[in-house]
Amino acid sequence: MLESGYFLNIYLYFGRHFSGLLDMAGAQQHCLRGASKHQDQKVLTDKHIHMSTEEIIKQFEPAQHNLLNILHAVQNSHPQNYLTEQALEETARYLKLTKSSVYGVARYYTMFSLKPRGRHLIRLCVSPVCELLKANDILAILQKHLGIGVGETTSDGLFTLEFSECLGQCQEAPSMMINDQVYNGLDEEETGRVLEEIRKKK
Amino acid sequence: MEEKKILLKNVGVIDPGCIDDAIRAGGYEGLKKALKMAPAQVIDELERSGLRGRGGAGFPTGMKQKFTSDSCLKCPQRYVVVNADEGEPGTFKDRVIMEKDPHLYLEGTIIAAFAIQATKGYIYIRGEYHESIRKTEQAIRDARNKGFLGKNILGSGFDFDVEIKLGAGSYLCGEELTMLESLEGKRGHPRIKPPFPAEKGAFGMPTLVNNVETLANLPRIIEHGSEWYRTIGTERSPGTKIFTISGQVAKPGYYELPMGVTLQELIDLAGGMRNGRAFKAALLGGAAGTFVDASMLNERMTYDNLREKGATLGSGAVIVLAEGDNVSDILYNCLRFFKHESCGKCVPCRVGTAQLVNKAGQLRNGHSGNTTLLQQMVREAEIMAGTSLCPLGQSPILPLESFSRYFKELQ
Ligand SMILES: Cc1cc2nc3c(=O)[nH]c(=O)nc-3n(C[C@H](O)[C@H](O)[C@H](O)COP(=O)(O)O)c2cc1C
Ligand code: SF4
Ligand code: FES
Repeated sequence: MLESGYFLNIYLYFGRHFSGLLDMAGAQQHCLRGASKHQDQKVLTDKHIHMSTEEIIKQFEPAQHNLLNILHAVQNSHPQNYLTEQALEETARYLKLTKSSVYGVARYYTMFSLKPRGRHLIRLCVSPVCELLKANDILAILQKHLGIGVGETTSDGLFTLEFSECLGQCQEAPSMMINDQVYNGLDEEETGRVLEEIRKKK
Repeated sequence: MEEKKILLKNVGVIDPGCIDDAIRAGGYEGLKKALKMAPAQVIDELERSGLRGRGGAGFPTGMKQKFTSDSCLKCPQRYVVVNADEGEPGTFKDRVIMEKDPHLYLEGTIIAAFAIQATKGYIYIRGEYHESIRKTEQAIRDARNKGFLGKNILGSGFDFDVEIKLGAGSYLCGEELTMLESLEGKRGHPRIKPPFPAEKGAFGMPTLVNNVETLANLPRIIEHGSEWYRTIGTERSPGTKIFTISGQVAKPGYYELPMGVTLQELIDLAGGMRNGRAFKAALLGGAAGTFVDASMLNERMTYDNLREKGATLGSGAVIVLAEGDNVSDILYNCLRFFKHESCGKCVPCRVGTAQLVNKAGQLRNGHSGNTTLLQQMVREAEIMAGTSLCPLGQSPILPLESFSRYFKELQ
């Protein structure tokens, strides 16, 4: 098939980093999508969503099994990447759960935070493959650039530095995520470049 | 040794965001065929195929379906739960399937649901896998529009739909019973086994829990038949396996190979050792896996053969270390991982994982009397394995015991 051969070439040319671009290009070319017959609700909310906490919560059916999805959606929509007390209370009320059980869940899972974090949440992988391929050096570089320790937030509120277990990117270790973006094959130069780029965009 | 792409044959060929592309490449043919069969026939076919669970334990998939389908016939509901929580260090095979050909495992999920007559399914994806989540979400939406999901699928009278549930950073939630707790909106504390999910799973109903890669096999088996499937791989481990190889090889990545390849063949395929360094060790199956040394390079990697040799296949993760790397650093890291992921509910695991990390710290710093230290650690991990509530506490013995077998001299 001509198209797929063509896109395969583009793919090979640009490499994995641009696979998102390829998907879009492909979709425009030969994937005509009619309007969905069903109401679409996205599990991953957009960082820049203009909705109140209440509106976000109400997108979900009021059942306990939606708790983690709701907490993700609410936390993602907060510029400081955390769950406010008010959000937890609203969630508890909506799902008819006790406040303490919602707190218990929020505290149990490492992706949730009850404290404000930076706008850009850095998760550096410290699992075996990344350690083997010098994640420690990347940690030192991040700390030097940001002037903070692990679990801390820069004074301008831009970055928080955290550790993560294996991000499933081991083929190009060492790796980190910043919000929902993955950065692989890190070295000193690349790490610095990524931080600069985010700083410029703010 | 060449790659044998049956699951990954469309990777890089189709646009994963486009269902028409997937269909043109043969997507949903297995489902169409399954829907013309009786559910019990589908289960029979899978049993005959010999497919074993790719989530790590290698449990026969057809048999699990049969248990789930036969249990609690009075129950008003049964569920399929897809284990897409991929958290075993060194493993990224499910991510590849979800990002590059999400319709494949979605089709497999629908076939599994039809086989056990489940009308509702959940896909539990780890929260960090944003791209997998997006791709799966798109795939579900498009499959609904095409009538592969929803009411009366392709006019067969069978109803089924799925929902995505997000994990939130807990490795333990990859364990099937813990996953069900999490999926119900609770903390990820393990449930006591039995009852198994097949008897009492999600919301107390019979539930089939399968790994993404396991389910990705179903369309192919149904479409081409179990006889064809059995021509690939070995007698007791038929089919292919997606290995994810990382560390000190020249071309780390994912490779789909017939079951029964050797570690040496896999390393060769991955371009050999990085910078021509000498092989020293590999960690097979991730943190809950086993170390091997060069004496294992030519052993066939199947569930049974590796088990007989005291090793594991697990998720198919292969982390390669070269001469000059410190194996005890990696052991330390695995034990640190377990300490971090222990839920703290039972004492042997909570205290044991912390003690093991302390001792591993001494070990890697080259303390004197290391053989005794190592023996102590193995003994402690054995006690943990015997007394912990769930499989996480039973895991540290795997890397530890294998490490002590191969590398005690190195200390
Ligand atoms: C601590 C722990 C973590 C696990 N993590 C995963 C995982 O991330 N993905 C997975 O498919 N299975 C995982 N498993 C195995 C599951 O419990 C279960 O065996 C599997 O989902 C069954 O699917 P299968 O029969 O298709 O292999 C884990 C098990 C344990 C004990
Ligand atoms: S063995 Fe560990 S992870 Fe499992 S219940 Fe006990 S403390 Fe929790
Ligand atoms: S070990 Fe870091 S991404 Fe897997």
